[in-house]
Amino acid sequence: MYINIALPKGRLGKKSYELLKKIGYSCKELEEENRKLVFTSEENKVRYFWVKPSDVPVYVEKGIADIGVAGVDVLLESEADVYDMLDLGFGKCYFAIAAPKGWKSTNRTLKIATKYINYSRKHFEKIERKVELIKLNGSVELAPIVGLSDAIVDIVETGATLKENNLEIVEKLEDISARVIVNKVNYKFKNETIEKVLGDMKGEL
Amino acid sequence: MKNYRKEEEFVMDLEKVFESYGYDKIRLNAFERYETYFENKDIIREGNLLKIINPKGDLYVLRPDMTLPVVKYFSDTQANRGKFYYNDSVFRTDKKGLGFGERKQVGIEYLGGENILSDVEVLDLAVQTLEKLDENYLLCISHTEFIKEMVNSISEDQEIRNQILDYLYRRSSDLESYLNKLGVDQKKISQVTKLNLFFGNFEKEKDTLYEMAVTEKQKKILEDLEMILKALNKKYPQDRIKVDFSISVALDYYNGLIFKGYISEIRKPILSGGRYDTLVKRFGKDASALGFCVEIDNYFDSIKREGTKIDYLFLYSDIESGFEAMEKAREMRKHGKTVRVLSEDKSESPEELKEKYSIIQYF
Repeated sequence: MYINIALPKGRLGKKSYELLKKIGYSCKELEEENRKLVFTSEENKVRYFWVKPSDVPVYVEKGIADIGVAGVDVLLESEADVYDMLDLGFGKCYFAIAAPKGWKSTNRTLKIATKYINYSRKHFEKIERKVELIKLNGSVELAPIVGLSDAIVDIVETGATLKENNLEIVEKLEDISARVIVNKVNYKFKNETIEKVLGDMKGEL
Repeated sequence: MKNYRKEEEFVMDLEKVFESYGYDKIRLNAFERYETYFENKDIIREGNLLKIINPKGDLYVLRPDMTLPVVKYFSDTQANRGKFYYNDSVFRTDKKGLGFGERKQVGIEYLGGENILSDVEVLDLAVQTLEKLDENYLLCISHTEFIKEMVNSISEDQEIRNQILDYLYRRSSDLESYLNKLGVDQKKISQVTKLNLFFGNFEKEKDTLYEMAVTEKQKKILEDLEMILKALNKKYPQDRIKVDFSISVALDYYNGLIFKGYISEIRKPILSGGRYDTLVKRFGKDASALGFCVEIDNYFDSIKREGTKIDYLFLYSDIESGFEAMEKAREMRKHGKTVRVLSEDKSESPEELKEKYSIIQYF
């Protein structure tokens, strides 16, 4: 039985593929330079979808892919109804609220710029803090510098980007790492196949 | 092309099965008083209700589910037993909460069942329903009280309990480290982790299941489940019926056995059900209650791409050949074939036509 795997374009996807290759799911097609988005290895009975990181949960939730690799950040933002069954331990970073150095919170409505609208809304609802969320698609660090927002919610790896832009962390939030996510229905129908992949991956970590 | 008649016939087949077990068809008003649902907010989120105001200004909702109206109807009768089936629409807001959504549900409710035998009957009907939907089906079974006992023994704090339930719902690999952080003892962690990862047939994995039982109550639950599933295993292939504690965490609504049915073509549960005695109690009646419903629209949506092809397409190039095609078509229809006669234009590609018609002939 074929296993269908959604991998995120970029470093995380490449690292995940290396791991999958080690446990017997190599795919020659994928290693060749080309612009394809679907790669099949008949020999190893595996099919890869090479997609935008934020789309991995969509492919998995809808069952096009049986499993996929996604960061906790992407998972929390997508709110996809999937199993989150294996922590790969790489792709580590964390969510944080950051603001210009010396900034002090006041009682008025906070303006927060972020790529992670759903995640941020949930966080501020939980702590009952009134905020205005501004959705950006990149270079979020710019927002407080030019006065678009008071602070930002973003993922932080080393903190170097924040520092360069004269921002500092106000509060550290959820830890992030890469996860293997699994479609809930495919898990039931292809249980042995999927459990084997998960088990073998775990063994290689 | 959607074939409504075929859908109706399919549902009628199901209805016949329910009737043969002594279930009566129930038809209820689509309008329910708003309070009924507002007072039972744990069943359906208030935001999902479609509200309607009558000319006097009273607030009503279009029923968002069938179970609650059936329970309400039952609690108003004098009877202490009711076996009902329905085939009706339910109404909710769409996913974004802005538009109207209507979907068909077919299901049964067994109110006032006596003992384990009524559970077996309802589950048996669930499997029979799934078999009709697709030969490649799965019925997954869980038990709310079993999970509750486990989770409640870990912490008194509702927030922690909810967090654990959320992990169980996602089979999350974070559960173990979370419990470690809470300082839960190792034996219990291993039991909860087992529960989190469990997926299998009761009979085959019996030992693992009994190892999970912490309390006497849990043991009793497993014994009952074992008896129920043994009865089912006699009739159905073992690998079609699984125990899976991740299927639902709606623990307020149900109290006891819960189950969900899947078919290989659909990525959502096609059938879901469970025990809801406590809901019946809220309406002032003390009776056992078990039922399930089938999201029949999801099923029909999934199969509409195939199986409803028209047998023949006759394409004609001019009026004369058109008459010839019409005559031929009349002949074919006498033999029970479906035939459509159209003039030959190029608006649809041969591939598109092949999707809709089994055989294409040119005149």
